[in-house]
Amino acid sequence: MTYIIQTHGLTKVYQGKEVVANVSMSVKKGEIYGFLGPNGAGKTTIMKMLTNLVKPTSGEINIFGQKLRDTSYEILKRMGSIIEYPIFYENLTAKENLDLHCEYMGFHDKKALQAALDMVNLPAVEDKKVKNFSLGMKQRLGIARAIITKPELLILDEPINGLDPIGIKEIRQLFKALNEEYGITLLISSHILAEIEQIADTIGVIHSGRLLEQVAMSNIREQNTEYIELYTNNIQKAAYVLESILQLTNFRVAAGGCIKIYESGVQPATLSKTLITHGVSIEAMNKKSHSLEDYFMSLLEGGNKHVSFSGAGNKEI
Amino acid sequence: MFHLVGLEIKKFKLGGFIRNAFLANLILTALIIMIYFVEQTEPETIFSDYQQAFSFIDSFVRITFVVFASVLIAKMIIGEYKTKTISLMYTYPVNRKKMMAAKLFVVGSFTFSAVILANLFAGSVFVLVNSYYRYIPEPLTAELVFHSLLNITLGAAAAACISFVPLFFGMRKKSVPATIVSSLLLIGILSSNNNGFSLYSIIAIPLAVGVIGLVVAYFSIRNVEKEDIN
Repeated sequence: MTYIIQTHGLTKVYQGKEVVANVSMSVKKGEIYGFLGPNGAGKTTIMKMLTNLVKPTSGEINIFGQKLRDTSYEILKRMGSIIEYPIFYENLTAKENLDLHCEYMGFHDKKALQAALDMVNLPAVEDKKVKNFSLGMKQRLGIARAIITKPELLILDEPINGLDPIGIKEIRQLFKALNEEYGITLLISSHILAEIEQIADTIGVIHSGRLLEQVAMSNIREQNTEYIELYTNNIQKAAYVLESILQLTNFRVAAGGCIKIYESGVQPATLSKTLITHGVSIEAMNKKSHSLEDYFMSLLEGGNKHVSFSGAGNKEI
Repeated sequence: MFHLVGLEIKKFKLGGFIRNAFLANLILTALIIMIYFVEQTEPETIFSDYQQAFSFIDSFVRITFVVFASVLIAKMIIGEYKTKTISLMYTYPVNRKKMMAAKLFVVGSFTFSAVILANLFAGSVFVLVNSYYRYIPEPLTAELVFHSLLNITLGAAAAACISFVPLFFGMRKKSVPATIVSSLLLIGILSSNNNGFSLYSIIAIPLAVGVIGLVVAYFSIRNVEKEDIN
């Protein structure tokens, strides 16, 4: 397995406070790695360390198999990035900005410029000054700039910020296409779970500067994907029926008079029939798929009881 | 390196800046000529001989273009930090030290050539006007011209180094006003001309400040690979 990015014990301390603490992450070649975490979790700081903008207090970064040093300029040639916010020379036009980018990157294919603009669906803006752009347009232009040189690694910090729902969908498809057609490895951060869920192959969950979990999406999808939610006013009796009569073991009593049954192959019909014949009244019963949100909420709650995962799971625009 | 200089010029559209410098040059020449005529009504004139006149012109030119240079520093260095475009620049596969050196090169070479060219222009116009009105009766000898040219060149070199000093004040809080005001105060104090005398004419003083400028430039380059960009 080739890793594009590997960090070992990456730590950044600002004024005695650990902003990033002992992060060891691995991004495989050719995958889309989703960085997930609430605002202020340290995602941006990690990305800045990966692009050499911020120097680690301790720990090590390997990119493309080479150790990242203060003077690792050549590595930057193979990366495209948007960190924190798409930054431009506001007084220059879109085209002038992209031209400058190509010059500094040492890239001289003039056709690629137009192709990149087409890819992000930004038509006829070349000669407009960037200061007149909306955030969504800047975001698109920033993505165009990052992909113009077809780098091997794209590091994008909150790339869907400021985009409308249609834009989000377009950009998501673009990322997938870049990943599949050009084999570009992507590291994308977001505080929006649903977004990461749809695109990432691997998810790294960051909270308070720590990497809580790094897991392949396929693994999460396999686990407990479906369950039956049962609402009743007599939990104890229901649990007894489930356990002794129906011989179910994989269920959990949740708060609010609710039982979650994870056992596979349980028919809701049999369930309700058996429960009723044993005198358990059912208020409601739903078949649900275990959402990623639950998974991450439990993960975060395990790490910190008072955490609030702001914005996660909401379809934020 | 020259590629980087070219990119800096392109990035900040310095063509317009150079045009403004030319304009400033025309205006200050006009002012000098005006003073030349007005001064004749005074009993004691600053234009009693060529040396005084050239020293006055040199001070005038130097103040103007060192302040111009501070605007350039504000635009190209302080501005990049303020608008965070520096974090874009530093994600490029370009040596940061070279990039910073290219910026300082633009500032230094602008100051040096602007001071020389403006001195030549204003000085020539002055000599031309005086050849009609003869308020300064002495002849313009080759020796005097040579001496003045040498002075101008050395003064311009010192001015180029001095123009880096405001970088120190500007970078502390990434402040554009601090850059420009500090340059104005510094060069104003150094160059205020009193009957042909200024601190600048004691050669040790511009030299020492010039060295300080070079130290400032050196330090602004030295740590550029280690610093965090937030």
